[in-house]
Amino acid sequence: MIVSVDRLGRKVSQNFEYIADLLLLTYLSFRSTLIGQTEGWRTLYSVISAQIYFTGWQAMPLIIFLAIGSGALVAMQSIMQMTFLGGVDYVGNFMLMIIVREIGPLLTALIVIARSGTAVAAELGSMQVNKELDALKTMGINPLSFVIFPRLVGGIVSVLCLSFYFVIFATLSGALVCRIMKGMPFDVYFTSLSQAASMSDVFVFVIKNFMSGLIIFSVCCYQGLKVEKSPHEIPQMTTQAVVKSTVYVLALNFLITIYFYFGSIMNLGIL
Amino acid sequence: MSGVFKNIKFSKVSVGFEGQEILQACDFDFPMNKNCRFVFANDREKYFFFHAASQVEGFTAGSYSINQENVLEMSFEDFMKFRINMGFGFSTRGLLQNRTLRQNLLLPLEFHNLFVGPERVEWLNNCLEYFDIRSDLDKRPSEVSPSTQKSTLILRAFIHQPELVFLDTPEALLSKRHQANLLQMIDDHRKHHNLRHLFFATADEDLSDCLADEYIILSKKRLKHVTTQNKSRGVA
Repeated sequence: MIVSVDRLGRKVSQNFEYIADLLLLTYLSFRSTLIGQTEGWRTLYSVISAQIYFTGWQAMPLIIFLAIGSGALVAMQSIMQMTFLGGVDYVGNFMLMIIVREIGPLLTALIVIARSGTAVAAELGSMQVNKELDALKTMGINPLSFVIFPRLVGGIVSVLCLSFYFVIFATLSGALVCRIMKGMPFDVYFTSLSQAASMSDVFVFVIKNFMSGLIIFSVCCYQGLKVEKSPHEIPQMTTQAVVKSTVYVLALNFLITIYFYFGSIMNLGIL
Repeated sequence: MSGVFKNIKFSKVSVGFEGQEILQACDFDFPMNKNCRFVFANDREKYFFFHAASQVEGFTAGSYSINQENVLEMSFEDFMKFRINMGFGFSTRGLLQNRTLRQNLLLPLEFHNLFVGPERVEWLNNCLEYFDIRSDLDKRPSEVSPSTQKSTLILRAFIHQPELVFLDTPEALLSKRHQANLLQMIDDHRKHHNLRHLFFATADEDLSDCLADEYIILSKKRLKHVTTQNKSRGVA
């Protein structure tokens, strides 16, 4: 029993240490860019643009495909259940709860982890092995501002944009399904959707996606930097990057949802 | 014209990497305004010494001072005034793989806003006179020969007209003709540009004879001067 408690304690403290390292990496990359950067802004801007292009723009077809599919599925299931309960007009609430609050941010984050998180971890790992980060330092270019900062900023912007487009396409496909299956007019669907939405949904959406982007790219950069000298470490660190960023993103989504859910229940006076 | 580097000094310096110490309580004044050849017992010592001296990493004790300022206490930004005047020619590797050779060469100039506009292109063309890699300039490092990669590494060390250059095995992978061009380039940089201090390691005695004014040997975790007359004994 005590051994298990010890083991659990060790795991918890290791996770706290890891999170502290991630925060330090993020802080130092922003600090070195905002304080130390004097001349390289144009070069940095091009690196950030490239990151947004690879992470955001190139992932758009996959995100649109998934959004249309999941939006249609959620709408279909909602309509079927709500027909039995006699509340088809509330399908907008379902779409908002499931797509905007949960599936949109989560699926987008998982796609970004699979597509770009792995690429970032592997790229940084191979940069370590090839002494590219040392080379940057010898050129007077801080890797924290030239390599890490653009990936963090580009990653966060991309996740926010991708998630926004996911929600747009998912709700549109939902509208189409409602129209085809139930003959629901578009204005009824969108009125239901807009009545269900509140400012807190916008806030939760932004905070979830911002934090997911930050977690994914700080974890993947950190794991990439942990590669020391041998190429065989690259796949190991990439795998760890995927596992850790998935776990942290899921935990974050879970915590925000719980906070939001309990907040709503407390507002209703149930608890 | 006065240079940026007045003196460079190790005081009771210890340097260690991966648990292995290569310098221990070492006092050493770097010879200034000279071409100095550093001699090491093995590649590991050579790599870690150059890594420590050029990137200010791996120091476990003592002080590393440039112009009486301890650079070990400086942040990356504070050290920039010296770093911008230093060049480093890697032995192998060190090229950015996701950039073309042209982008690799121009990166320090673009980042530090040196040689604006047509001047930059003109200066690049001037540098390419020594190593003709024009046909490969728009290829990535993985698409060119190791010799072209090495030429790019050397050119990049000199591209921002540094005052101090570290060269790790500059002759490796270069043809005799390119080695001669390298000597010419160093000579031209000394005469017409900012180069004043050159610290290098080589396995080529001919190149060393042509280039070295002084020999410094790392032995028993200390750096020692060896006079040119005694170099063969020192090197051995």
